[in-house]
Order: sequence, then C-alpha cells, then structure tokens
Amino acid sequence: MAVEQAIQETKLVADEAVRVVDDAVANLGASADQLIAILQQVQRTMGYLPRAALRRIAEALDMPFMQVFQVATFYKAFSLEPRGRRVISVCTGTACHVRQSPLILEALERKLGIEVGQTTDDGEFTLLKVGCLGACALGPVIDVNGAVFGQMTVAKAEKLPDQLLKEDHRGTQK
Amino acid sequence: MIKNPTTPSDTITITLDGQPITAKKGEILLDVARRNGAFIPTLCHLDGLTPYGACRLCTVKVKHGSWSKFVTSCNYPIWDGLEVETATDEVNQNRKLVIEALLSRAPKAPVLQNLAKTYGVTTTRFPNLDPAEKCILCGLCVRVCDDVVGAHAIGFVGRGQDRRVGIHINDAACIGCGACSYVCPTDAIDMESVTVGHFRDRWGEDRPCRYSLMGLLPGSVCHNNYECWRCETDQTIMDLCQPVHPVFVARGIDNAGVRSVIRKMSVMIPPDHEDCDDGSTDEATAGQQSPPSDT
Amino acid sequence: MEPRNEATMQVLTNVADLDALRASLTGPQDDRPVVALCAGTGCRASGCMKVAEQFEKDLDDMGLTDKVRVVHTGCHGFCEQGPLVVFRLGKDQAVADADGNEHTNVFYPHVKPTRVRKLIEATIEQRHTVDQWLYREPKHNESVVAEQDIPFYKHQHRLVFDLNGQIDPTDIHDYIAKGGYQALAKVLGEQDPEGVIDQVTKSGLRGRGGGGFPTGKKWAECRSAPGSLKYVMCNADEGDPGAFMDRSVLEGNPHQVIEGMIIGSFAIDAHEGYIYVRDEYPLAVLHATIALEQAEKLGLLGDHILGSGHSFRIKVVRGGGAFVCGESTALMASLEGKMGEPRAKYVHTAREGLWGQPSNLNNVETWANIPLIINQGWEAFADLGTEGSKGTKIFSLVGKVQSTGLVEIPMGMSLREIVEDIGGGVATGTVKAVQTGGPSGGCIPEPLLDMPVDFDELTRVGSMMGSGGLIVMDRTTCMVDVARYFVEFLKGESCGKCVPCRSGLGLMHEILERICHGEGKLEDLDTLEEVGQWMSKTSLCALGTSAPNPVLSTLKYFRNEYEAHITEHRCPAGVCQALITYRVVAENCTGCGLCVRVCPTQALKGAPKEVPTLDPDTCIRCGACMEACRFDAIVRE
Repeated sequence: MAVEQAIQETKLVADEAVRVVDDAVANLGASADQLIAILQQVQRTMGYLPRAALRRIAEALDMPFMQVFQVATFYKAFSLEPRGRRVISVCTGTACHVRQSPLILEALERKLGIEVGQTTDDGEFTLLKVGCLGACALGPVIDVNGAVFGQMTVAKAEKLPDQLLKEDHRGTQK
Repeated sequence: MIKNPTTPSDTITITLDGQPITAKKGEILLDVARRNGAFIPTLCHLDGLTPYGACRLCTVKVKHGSWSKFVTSCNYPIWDGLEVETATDEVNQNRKLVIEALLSRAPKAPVLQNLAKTYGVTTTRFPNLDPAEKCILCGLCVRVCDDVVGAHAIGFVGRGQDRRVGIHINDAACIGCGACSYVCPTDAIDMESVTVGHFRDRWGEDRPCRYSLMGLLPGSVCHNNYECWRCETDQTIMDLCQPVHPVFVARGIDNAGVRSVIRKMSVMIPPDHEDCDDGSTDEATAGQQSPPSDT
Repeated sequence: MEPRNEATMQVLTNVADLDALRASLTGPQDDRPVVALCAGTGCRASGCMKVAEQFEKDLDDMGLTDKVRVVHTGCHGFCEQGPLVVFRLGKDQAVADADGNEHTNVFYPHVKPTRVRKLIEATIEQRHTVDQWLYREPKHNESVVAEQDIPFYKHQHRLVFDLNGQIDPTDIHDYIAKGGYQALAKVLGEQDPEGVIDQVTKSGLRGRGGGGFPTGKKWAECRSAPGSLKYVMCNADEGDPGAFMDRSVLEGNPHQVIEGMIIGSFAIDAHEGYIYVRDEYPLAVLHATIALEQAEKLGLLGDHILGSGHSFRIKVVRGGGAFVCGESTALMASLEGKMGEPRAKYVHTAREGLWGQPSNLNNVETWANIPLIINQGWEAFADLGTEGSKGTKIFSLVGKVQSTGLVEIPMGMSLREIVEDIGGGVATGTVKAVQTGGPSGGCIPEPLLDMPVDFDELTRVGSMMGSGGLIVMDRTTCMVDVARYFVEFLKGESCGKCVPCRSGLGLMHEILERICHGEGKLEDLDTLEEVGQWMSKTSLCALGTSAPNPVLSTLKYFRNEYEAHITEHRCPAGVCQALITYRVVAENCTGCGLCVRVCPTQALKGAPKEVPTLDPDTCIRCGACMEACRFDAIVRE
C-alpha cells in the first residue's frame, strides 16, 4: 500500500512539474537564455526542482538533459530537494561578517537543530547562508522568503523562528 | 593579449626556448611546441576535443619585450614575435604544484606517479577529501561524450570543491560506447563492472549491441549479456580500430576506412536485419542517441 | 505599475517629440512640495513602505493629497539611517529651524509611521523643522537640517548618484523631466558611432566592475570585430559581499543605465542587449523590467529609435546565484543556459563572446556614466580624478565606521578622507585597515590610508578597486579571520574548473582554519605564500588569480597577527572563537540577570541581584551575554 501511495505521489509531482514547466516556458519563451529564469520559476512555485521538471525543461528547450541538470546543480538558487516553507538566509557578506553574523548563524543552527543547508523535520524551515543581500548598512541581516530583517543580534535570532511561526498563525486566523 | 600580425603573410616567427621557429599565425601553441620537440605535459588535452585549459599543466611563460604572462599552451593562439619558455624553473614550479594538488585526489594513478617522478614531487600538502576518489576533474570524459559521441550522458555537477563528474545521472542517454573510460587518464570510470551494469539495467532483455548504438553496426542485439570485454565481436572491432577507440571511427574522426570493414562483419547481423543499410541503421538508433555535434 | 501620466506614453518618433514631452512634464504643476521617500532595499528592510502608507493616509486625512507630491525614490545611500525622508520645498515654502534659519531641504532619518502626521503638520502647515527628529552627526552631536549639509553627503561628489534620491525609478517621465534621454537624442540626432567612441575614449572612463579596462578601447575593439550580430550587455551580477552600489543604481535610476546601453549599442552597432541581474536583487529586477517596458512604449527601445536608423532591444536575465558569473565569460556562458564556467580569454570577448559573436559587457556604474559624458562633455569628465583614473567612483562604505552607506567620490580622494570625513571615523578611535576590492581585494593598513583612490595605486599596494567595496576594520577585527572568511567565501564560489583555484583555495582554507583554531605552524605561512603566488600566476580567470589577495596582503601587513595565533595561541582582536574566553567583571555587574536569561547553554548561573558565574566548559562563546549586557560587565579576552 505504502509503495502504491509513493508511486501515486511521484506521479502527482511529475504531473505538476510538467504543468509548472509548461507555464514557465509559455511565459518566458523556449530559448536557452531563459533556462535559468525557467528553473527559477519552477523553484519558486514548487519549492525545489523535481527530476520530472528538469526532464520536461530539457524537452521544451531541446537541450540535453545533462545540461539542465548541470545548471541546476551549479547555481545556488536551486535545490533538487524540497525546501522548508520558510527559507531563512543568513547574510554572510563582509559587512555582516565583521558585525558577527557567524554567531547569528550558529544561534539559528542551535535553535532549529539543523545545519546550514538542511531543512527541519517538520518542513517549516530551511537554513541557508548567502553571500550578500546588499543591505550591508543594516548588518547583520537575515532574509526570510524575501523579507529582510536588519540589525540582528544573537538574542533576536534565537527568537526569530518562534516569532515567524506565531505571525504565520495569526495570519491564518485572519 | 593578442597582437595583430605585423607581417602580411600567414607565416610568422616565434622564439621557442631561445630557438626561432616558423609557424602559422593563430596556430595553437601546444601543437607548434610539440611539433618542434618541446616537452609539455598535459592531462586535460586530447587532439580532436575542444581545449579546456583546466589542469594548467601545460602552462608556459610567454613574453614580448617587457610584457610577460603565464598562459596555457593548449588553447593559446600564437602571434608574430612571441617568445615562449616551456621548461624554466618558474614554469616547472607550476607543474610541481599542479601535480602535488592532483596527487591528493588520485594518489595511485600511474600517470600522476610518473609525472611526480619526472618533476621530483614526493609528497602532497593538499588535503585528500575522499580516499576512494580517482577522478582529477580533467573533463575529458565530458568532452568526448559531448563533442565526439554526441550522447551528452556525462557532465560536471555541483561546483567548486563539490564539483564531480556525474556519470550515472543520465543513463537514458548513455550508449555504452565506453569512450569516457577510454580517454580517462586516471582510470576513474569503471566500465566493466559499473557502467555496463547500469546499461544492462536500462535495456533489460531487449539488448542492442553497443556498436549498433554507436552506428558502427547495423541494428543488432547483444548475444553476450554485455560482457563486452569477453566478447569476440568486441575484440575484433577494437583491434580493427586500433589505435583509436571505435567511437572515433564511428564518428568519422579517425580511421574512417575501417568503418566499412566493420559494417560488413556478417557475424553480427541477425537475420531480420540482414539488409540494413546506412539509412535504416540511423533509424534504428534514432531516439536512443542524439546526433553527434558538428565539431 | 503604470506611470502617473498614461496619456503621455505615446511613441516618440523623433527628437522633437522627446523635447515636447519633456517640456510638458516640467510645467507649473511640479512646484508642489516634494516628499522624497527612500524606497531602496535598505530602507524597505527598515520598514519604509509602512511609512509610505502612512504618508498617503495622513495627507488624505488632512486634505493635502493634491498639494504635496510624494516620490518613492531609489536608494539615497545612507541606509543605516533609514527609513529616510527628505522634504524638498520651493523658496516660498521654506521652513525655519530652531535658530530661525530658513531651509528648503529637510532630512529626517529613522522615520516611523507614528512621526508622519507631525512631520507633515510641521513642514507643510506650520513651516518649521521638528528638531528632535533631525539627523545628529556623531562627531559633535549637533543636528543638521539639510541633506547636503550632513557630513556623510557634504564631502561626496554625486554625479552618477545625482538623480537617485530625486526621481521615481518606476516612472520614465521623472527621468525625462530631469533631462533623461537627452544624451541619446544628441547622439542619434547629431553624432556618428566613431565620434561617440572617441568621446568615451577621451573621457578616460575605465570599467567600474573591477578590471578597470578603458571603456572606449573595449567599444572600439567590438565595433571593429567582424560580424553583423553583436551583443551589448550590462553586468549587474554584483556578487562582492559588502558592495551594493550597482543594485542601488539599477534600482534607483534604471533609465540612466538603459540610456547608456542604447548609446553603447549605437556606437558598437549592436541590436540586442541583456541586463544580467543578480538573483538576490528582486527590486532591481523589477525596476529594470518596468523601465524597459516604459522605454519600449515610448519607442526609446525597439526599431528606429527616435526616428533614427538604429534599432536596439534589451532583455533582463536573472542570475542563478553564482559569484563567478560576474566574470565576463562565465556571465556569457550563463546567458547561454550553461554552467557559469569561465573560459580562456586569449581571444577577447569583443571578438568572440556571447554565442561566439562580438560582445561588449560593461558594469552598471560604467553604463550610468555614459549619458553624463555625452551631456557634460568628455572634458568635464576627464577634469575629475587622477592621471589614470577619471570621473567619480561609488563605494559602499561599511564595516566598523560610524556612518555606513553608499558614497560617490571623485577619483583621487584619499582613503582617509573617505573613512574620516564621510564615514565619521570608527567608534573605537583608530582604523586598523581598510579592505577594498571585494573578496579578491586586499587589506590596506592604516599608515597607507593617505593614498589616493586610483585603479593603479590600489593595485600597487596589493589590493584593487574591484567594484567598490570599502570595508573599514578596527582593533576588534582579526586579520587572520578576515583572510579565512574571504577564502571560505571564494572556496564556495570557485567554479571548480581549474586546479590552482579549486585546490589552492581548499588548501588555504584548511590552513587558515587551523591557524584560527590555534593549531597552525610557522611553515604554514610559507605554504600560504607559495600557493598564493601559484594561484595568482596560473589560475584560469580573474576570480582565481585575485583570490589569494586577501591572504597575501594580510600576510604582508599583519604577519604579527598570524604569528600571535600560531606561537602564542592568542587572537589579538578577540575574534577567533577557539582562542577567546568570556569573563564577568564583578565591579560593573548590577546583578540584573539578563545575561543568565539569554545564555543558550546555561553556562552563566546566578541568582537575581548576584554576580553570575561563568562555566568555561559549557560556554560556547556565542557572545549573547556580552551583547545583552548594558553595563560592560562581560568582557571577551
């Protein structure tokens, strides 16, 4: 039964991947210079890049599958594994680094019980570090799904995950 | 820095290790140097494949007046008046460090051990990240699969320290030709027990002979359970194609004359495919492989 | 997003149309007081959009919506003071400060939604400043009213950045009203391509992206390269951690970049262009996209621009997150839908670039300089700066300096002037070093700070201009840690293609980690130097050849710090976690218990009103206690 369920799920993912890729290609055009943009749209919509999506992109752009796969593993914006609902990116740019961002990162690793690059078991959080968010004057900064939190401290970082969960909870109640 | 030619004719003069020599403008430095007897070691270079410039072993020093620079000879087009040093202490110092760095990845590879002996490298200070690793990331397998075979079954994945060659990521595109293993300088691709295993899994009972997938034989079935290294047909074709791998013959890059000989090997042709000609062979293999690139 | 004046989005078929549009935009309606609200990424992170909503609401409540113009501008550069609001007033709208002096420009930092109502009332209705909310400069703690009188701005020379704080980047009319696309009209109407290249060459403009290659020379080579299909590209893949000027220019004034590109495409005879923007800059992508749409609607992009024979189109392409894609050949590979792997440039990209065609790539700031050179003349541009470096350069001044943000200065200004006069110096008293050039730049020690900012001078001392990161370091910055940090960054960003860069960074990182943990050996320093020299001589691309700079420059100027880590197992700056301890200073402690509450591992124990004790074995040296303590009762040593 579990096997059948897994097969069914895989098929659902594959169907969705095809749909998402077809949308992206229709939007952006089937040319090689749009490969990264297409991958980005799929990544945004699905939270990761399933194999089925990569295969469909290769077909649509008439490009070897291997090339799509290489690009998907080369750039940091992409993940071949599902990411958490909230992606916490700790800026480790120079300005943030000299303002002690490594301690912020450690605090989050401790709080979430995961290492950089991993996702919590409940699928809520993925912890990443990024080169520079370009908000250097506000360092240390953290980005959560596009929202920037500036002037972080170890104490603020420790509270952040709970705060995010609470805010979300309030959001769904509205 | 590429200088425009100062002489109208295509023939130019460069100085190679102090000796003036003539060559054609725009020729690749490595070819010219080797033709004139210089010893320049390479690991990521193979005639017929796009130069890659990754291993840096072929780095030499080029000069012109007060200007000088270290360049990789495998992809450097020459120009009139160029002075080249191929084996000074400075040039060899780079080679030593390249060898030392690669030794940490593939310490047992004979090619590296020989180079280490030649250049007097005895130990390596570079960390060995994976003792089981043999690959030095020269990319020959990737380029042979892209440029010659045209199957695009192999590629680099990841980047930086995590970069590796992705061999069994795209098995559906692999035609089992073994060119990757053939060009690998450090024997990092295990054709016999690993790659063919994947190949067998993919095709199951309906097993084409790999030479038919290469387009060397009309559509034929393997009767030896992919044990190519013990197959009489395989041995025969390998011998016929010497000194190159059959895929180079198949792609018309080398030993083109052998191609027609192989095609007539009746022993390989099953009864229902007896009258296959060029056209239908291509049809039989269509969908299983991409056309070769136009290199 | 649509521009405020949809009726004027008619295709401009010639230069006269453009002039007529500009005239219609600079009528009496623009004499209203302006609230310039910074809506750059920095201020957005500080909550400026809530302030913007409040302005809208309060103006509406007060019945002033039509009487005041609120402009959401791009980045003003002084991000740490955000959200920033600047009131720009007419002479008859001037406001009085506490001493009775009149001002037509009032700058308010850290604006909160709750302050908005009072700011409007005071400025628009009562015509005076709100003194307690004015900016106070840190050196003398005096309040400053006007933006241009703030030391951070006063010593700058804003040319490229001039319009950033004034115009709405999502409305092409704002740019046109300020003289935008005038340079393009001049070029298409009166000049030939060779003449344009000649002006750029004579101006002495050099690439702002890092290499400093003369722009005119690059254009000329691309123009003369055989081939009818040519490409013009804008490099907005600003990956240097600690630099964000390209983001600010593209976000705050995208049309100036686009205008530069159209002029460049005319000079080179290219008809297709790309803006390659870093993935982490969503606002820059959005603004560039909007700007392109509007320029197309007005016929400033497309076929027969302004009735000329020149046609040009631009696409925005987002990067995938790879620092190496700032390198030209890697960027082009990425545009072709491949891994961002550099290749040898023995044949220049001006001859064989994108898809093997002649291609010209310039950085955002370089492109933004082009309209200025055409409008003001190359002579004016060449008058600014030093012998070998002309014009201005934008730096992102960050790190341990009092005032951080983006600063535009004329080439030739000394690093000390930038740090002390513009940045207000460091809080701890003395600067130890300034790091320029991004991760591949070098650390310049304090005694050399009087050197002028100049491409060649910076290279001479072992650093480089790079894209313009300027990170100030003081006695609490560990130079070994800085080197280790940059090497770790580059190790993660190296594409892994060539051996010296891939293996060299791996080895350097391993050694520096050991040194930071107090496990280094003196011979490690020789290895670092040997490997560094090797990488800089033989790596494939500029990432690899410049990657050892942070290590080699800190080894050169701060060798004693390396030696302290190795021989004394001591981190003089108190940064390397393995080599430091925290201590409670009993005489400063008030027993408030805050440190005990924030300690994540319960290493600090103590009852309320008591001086807590610290167990060094449980302490993970996270620094939360020291950060929380308000009485300097916890010290790191």
